[in-house]
Amino acid sequence: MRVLEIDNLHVSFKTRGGEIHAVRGVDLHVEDGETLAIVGESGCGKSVTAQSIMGMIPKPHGRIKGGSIKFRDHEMTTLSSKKLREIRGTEIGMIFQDPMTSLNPTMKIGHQIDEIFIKKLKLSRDEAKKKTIKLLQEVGIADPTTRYSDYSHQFSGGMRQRVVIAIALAANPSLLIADEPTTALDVTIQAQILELLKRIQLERQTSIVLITHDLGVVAELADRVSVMYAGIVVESGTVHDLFESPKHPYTWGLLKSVPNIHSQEKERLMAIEGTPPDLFDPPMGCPFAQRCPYAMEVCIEYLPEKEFFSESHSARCWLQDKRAKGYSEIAAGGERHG
Amino acid sequence: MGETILDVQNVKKHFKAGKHQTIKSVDGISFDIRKGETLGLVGESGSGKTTLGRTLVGIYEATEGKVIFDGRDLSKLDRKSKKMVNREIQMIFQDPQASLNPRMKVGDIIAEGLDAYRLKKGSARKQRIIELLEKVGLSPEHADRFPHEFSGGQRQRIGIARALAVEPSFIVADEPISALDVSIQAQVVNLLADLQQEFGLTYLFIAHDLAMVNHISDRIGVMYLGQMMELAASDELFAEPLHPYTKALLSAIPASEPSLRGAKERILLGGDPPSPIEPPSGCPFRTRCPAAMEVCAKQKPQWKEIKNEHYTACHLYG
Repeated sequence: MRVLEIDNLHVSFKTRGGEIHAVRGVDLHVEDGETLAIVGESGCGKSVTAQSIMGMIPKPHGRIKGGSIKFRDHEMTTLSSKKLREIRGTEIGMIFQDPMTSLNPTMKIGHQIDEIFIKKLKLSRDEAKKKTIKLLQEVGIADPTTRYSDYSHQFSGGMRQRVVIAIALAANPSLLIADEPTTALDVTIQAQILELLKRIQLERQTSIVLITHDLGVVAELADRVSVMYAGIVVESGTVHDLFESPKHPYTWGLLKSVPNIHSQEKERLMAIEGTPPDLFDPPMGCPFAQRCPYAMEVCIEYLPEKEFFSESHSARCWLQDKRAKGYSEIAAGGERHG
Repeated sequence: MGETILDVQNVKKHFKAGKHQTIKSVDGISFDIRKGETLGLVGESGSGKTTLGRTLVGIYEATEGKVIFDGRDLSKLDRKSKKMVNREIQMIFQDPQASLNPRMKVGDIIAEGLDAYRLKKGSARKQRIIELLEKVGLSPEHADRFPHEFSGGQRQRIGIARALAVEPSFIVADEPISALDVSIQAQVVNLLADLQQEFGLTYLFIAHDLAMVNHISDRIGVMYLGQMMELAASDELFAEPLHPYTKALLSAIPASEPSLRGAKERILLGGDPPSPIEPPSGCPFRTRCPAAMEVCAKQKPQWKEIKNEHYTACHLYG
């Protein structure tokens, strides 16, 4: 069963400088109980995609211009804001990068979780408190009965993120959207949170959409991956497809620009030269063509269609087109390096 | 390599917090940096790595201890010779947005050092700006633009050009790539490596990304709560870490590919680092250390060379 299916999503923002085309035809889906990672750099549209799922595109500047987002039985792009609010926090849980922004600094931590049980699940105050304490324990807060009455500033960054995860899980959602959940955390704390998310997934069978720029987090947590660049999904596949036989030059570049801690030799990093294109006036062709060492004429003019390599693995790249004679070797070579 | 350029002897940097409290950000650190090497400094937020870096370049004055640069004790210099030493030690900051004056043209930003030391004027100054822009991969016409017209990676290049302008021998780079995207990080790291080779620069590279620090550094120092816990050649540190904190830190690095998921045993540390206002007695790591013993609370472990060029401060090693 598919929990989430996004089809040809377009989102843009009106600014004083013109219209930014942030998401330009994104397709992706999430199966029941799996973790889909959306990877990409700042401005690639990964967070905007996540916001669209939750109906949280800031209005009136932002607008979903086309496409559909199907979450279970709901078409999210046409739902009323009231209905969206109902779904958020019950059927879809959310975790953001900075836990401080999702917590109310003037309210006891326990009460913030109670609220969900009381308002959304219509439990009594006592029942809610019991459930909250149990949940705090589940997400690894030591001494939950005491911590129930503490305020967010009395928690460390890692502990706050655990509380945010507890809030996201309270209504037992079928989909969890985690936008850079460990980016603001130190590496030892990041490891704790990753372990926690793994355990939650295992025990609760929650589907997760994980937004991140960190390939290490992807390698640890994801079942499938969609790589985004300049508002477009350039490659998508299982986590093994992506790491072991990547097909798009941007994916090759991403994988090679991170140092390998297992290699003894300190080779020069393969940097991707240049910077991403301006989304006020997105390029006609492949958005990566400008930075791509293998770009051909066709790449500048036409956006490649999705090419499938297996049921799970696809990429948008002219190198993979059968007509790109002589380039198949490059394509094969790139995979080996990846 | 081998000759010492910077000798750090028992340096402390304490800050007053309120009337009766002191934050011991850096609390007695000794090590040396050798000519032409890159020393990586890792540690989590609050470990004191940035404070240490700033104390070494002279932004902060050390509360105690000595910093000896090229044979000169920095605390004992008069103003004039201090200014001369400052020219040789430059810094690159984490946030290129915050460290570049938005009202100044890039050319003038780069020439700040040239102007301060009255090194070049008129056309020679202009020539030098162009030369520096090209060195860091920007073009001459960029000199007349303002910082906001550049991307994050380009801004960091401007920061690097500014540091290079006065021909320093030692550069402290404080998280120079953490604000940048992955593909841009590699560009900046490669640039730093090229410049090091061309000018024989010595780097202190402060970062929290362990894989990147390992890539760029010859040796790595690990800090925790104001103290140096371990220092060794980077290969040695990654292959045979001694200190329990270093072990935990390395084990926390996410798998580099999915096939290595769960391949190594993860040492999950309980809790969070204690406050530097009231650090634990004895070893600062003992409250979270899986190997803590009675002695760790009573006595501060000594900083010792356990193996050749491999230092640590831990009671497990005598």
